[in-house]
Amino acid sequence: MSGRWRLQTRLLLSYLVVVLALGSLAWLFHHRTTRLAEGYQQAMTALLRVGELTRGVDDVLVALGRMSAVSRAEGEAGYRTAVAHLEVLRGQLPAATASPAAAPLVLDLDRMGDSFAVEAGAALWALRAEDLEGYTRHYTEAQTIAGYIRSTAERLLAAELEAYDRIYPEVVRRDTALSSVNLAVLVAAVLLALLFAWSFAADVAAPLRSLAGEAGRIARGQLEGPDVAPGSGVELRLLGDAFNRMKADLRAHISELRAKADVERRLQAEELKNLEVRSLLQETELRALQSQVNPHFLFNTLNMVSHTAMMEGADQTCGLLETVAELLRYNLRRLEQPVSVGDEVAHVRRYLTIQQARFRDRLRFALNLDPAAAPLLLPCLTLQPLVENAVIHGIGGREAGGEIRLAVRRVEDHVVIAVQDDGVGMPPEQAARLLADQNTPSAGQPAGTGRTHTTGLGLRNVARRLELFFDRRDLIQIASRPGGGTCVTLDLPVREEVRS
Amino acid sequence: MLRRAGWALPTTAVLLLSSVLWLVARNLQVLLAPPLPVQLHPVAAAPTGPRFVLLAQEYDHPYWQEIRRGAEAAAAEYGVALDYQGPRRHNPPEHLRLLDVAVAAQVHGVITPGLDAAAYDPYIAKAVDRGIPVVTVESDAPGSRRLSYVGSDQDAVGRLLARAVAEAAGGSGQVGVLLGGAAVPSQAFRLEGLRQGLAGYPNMQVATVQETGFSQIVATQEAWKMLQHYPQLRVLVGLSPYDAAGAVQAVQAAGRSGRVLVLGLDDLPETLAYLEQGDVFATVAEAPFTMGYRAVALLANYLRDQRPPQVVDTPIVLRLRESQP
Repeated sequence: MSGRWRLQTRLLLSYLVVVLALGSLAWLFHHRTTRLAEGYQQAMTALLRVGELTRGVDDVLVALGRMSAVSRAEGEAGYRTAVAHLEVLRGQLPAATASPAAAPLVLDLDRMGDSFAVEAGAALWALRAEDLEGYTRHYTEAQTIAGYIRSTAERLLAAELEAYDRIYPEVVRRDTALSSVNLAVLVAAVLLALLFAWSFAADVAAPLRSLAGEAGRIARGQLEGPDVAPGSGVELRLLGDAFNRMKADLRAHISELRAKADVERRLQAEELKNLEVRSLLQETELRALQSQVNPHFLFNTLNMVSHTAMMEGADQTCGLLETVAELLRYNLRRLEQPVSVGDEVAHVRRYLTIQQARFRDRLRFALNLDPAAAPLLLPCLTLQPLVENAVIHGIGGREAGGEIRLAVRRVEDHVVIAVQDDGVGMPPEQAARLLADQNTPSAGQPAGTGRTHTTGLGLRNVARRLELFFDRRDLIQIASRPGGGTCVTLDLPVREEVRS
Repeated sequence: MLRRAGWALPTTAVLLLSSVLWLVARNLQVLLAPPLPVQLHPVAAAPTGPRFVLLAQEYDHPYWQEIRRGAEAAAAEYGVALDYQGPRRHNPPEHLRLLDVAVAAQVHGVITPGLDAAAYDPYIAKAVDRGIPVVTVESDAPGSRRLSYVGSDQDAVGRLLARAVAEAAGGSGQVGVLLGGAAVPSQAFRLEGLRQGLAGYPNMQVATVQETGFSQIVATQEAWKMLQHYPQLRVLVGLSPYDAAGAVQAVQAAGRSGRVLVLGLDDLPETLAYLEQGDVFATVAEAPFTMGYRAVALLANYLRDQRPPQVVDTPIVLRLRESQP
């Protein structure tokens, strides 16, 4: 029940109840006390008035008595004052009495006061008329009546006091009852207040404690605890719900992350495996290749074949075989070691020798080597691919064949190498593309070229290695015209010279 | 514990509140009542109509209480206020003082027995001079300026009693008479009536007359003395209330029950009991209720300008015993 209320409402209501209880208690007490005081005051006033009347009567008697002793004027003034005062007192007699016996007595007092005034007036008249005997008579009668007034007043007072005395136990009883009710209400209010406070604190503090505890557990990583119980009051409920939701979300997120991490790990593992497999394959390929291209095996085979050719008298074949062996030796040397231009040109001549043996008259070759350029160092297998391109692409497709010119000359600290053919040429844009794509893997492999026709090292490879070796770019220029041949020019700085 | 706290609070609160409410409800009357439970009697409502005062001979005397009841009944009917006063014991000076007080208090009418012929006249005159009518009841003040007399014809009472005495004594014998006070006119009339009545019986003599002061103890004492002094005494007569009862006690103490006849003049319960038992031969009962009633009625009518009769005779009844002691 208390869960649906706002804490503020509950607190306010609790305060209101307690305040109302205590407030009405205080009001009741005050009200009763006031009324009691009023009642007693009324009673006292009534009784006082009666006493005042007797004194007023005595005052008139005194004034009357003095009149025979002092001057007429002074005596009459005093008398009139006393009589006027007596009239006032008669008017102030109580209008109600506490005892039934006293009510007619009040009336009697009033009438007796009148009788007294009549006698006193008669005495005055007698005095004015110098009738001493009459004055004495009326004065005595007034005295007698004054005595009656006194005794009647005493009876009245006695009756009233007796009446109040009789009700006093009842007053005490009622007061006691009120006091006990007061006490009960007070105790109840205090208990209620304590109860409210305790319950409120419990209902607020306990959920907060459990929330804090749960938060602590979550901070330590234990997300699997039970949900926090909903507190009482709308606000605490919201808090609890939000907390539980957060915890659930957190759990969900964490498991999601774990799942993702799992998946990624697995993917990575897979990738690694694939990579490894590829590299292994490559290794295998390489090994297979290498095993096939074992130099010793190859050379032994060539030697044997050359020997066999010589034995058979095929000198040309023998010569070709030796050239092939040299070529292959050059190809299988340590490729990272730079070679001299001379060596490279020699390798090119050997290559071309073999190609000429294939193409015969269709392939013509001219070489112009500057001896000053010969000692220049450059990376291995850079000229041969160029010449090879010229052979394959430039001339290989033509029925008539063509001529390849290789010119190497030294220009101060540069060596300019030109490989020129008069083959099919290429459109300028293709040349530009070849140059532009120097650094991309597929550059230098013109479309449609199968791997079997080339040694596999394209223009890209050559250019890149030259760049790396000389630490410069733009070393290669290609000038070509479709149908007008191609000229690949290398402009290489002199870096080192071989010590011959 | 949290769950239980949720129920404990409203339950305890309800219990507390309901117990407090029960307490309040139980004491609601007390709580709402004025703290000073004074029932106020308004002076003004004390009727502004005529106020009469009945001055009893003795305040607590049952006879006078009966007169009071009659007077109050008439007062209620005629819409007048009646005040009842009187000395505790038969005390003519005190009684007169009360009369004077009533006159000073300007009552509208006084009902009083005349207890002393000489003394009462001037006071009654004073009252009448101030416009306050006086009606005598039970005992007249014949020489005064009283308006009327309401009561028994005392002389007739005496005579009736005399006849009863003669019958009781069989026509002869000594008679001892007890009376309250010779000065009280009604007593004097009764005695005179008795003497006159007994005069017709030559063999009957009134041996002695003693005053009891309207006190039963004194009556017993006087009766006892009579019995001692007059061994031949045949009849004891009491002319005021309590006298008969006192006489019976004396007779019983003297051991002369059955030999001395007692007659009385009241219908007090004690006397009636003796009558029942036969210790009292006869008693003349008056009608005090009627006296009170007629007196108030007369005064009320007088104030409405009706001329009152001079005398209102109230009935007297002679009651004889039914059995012998």
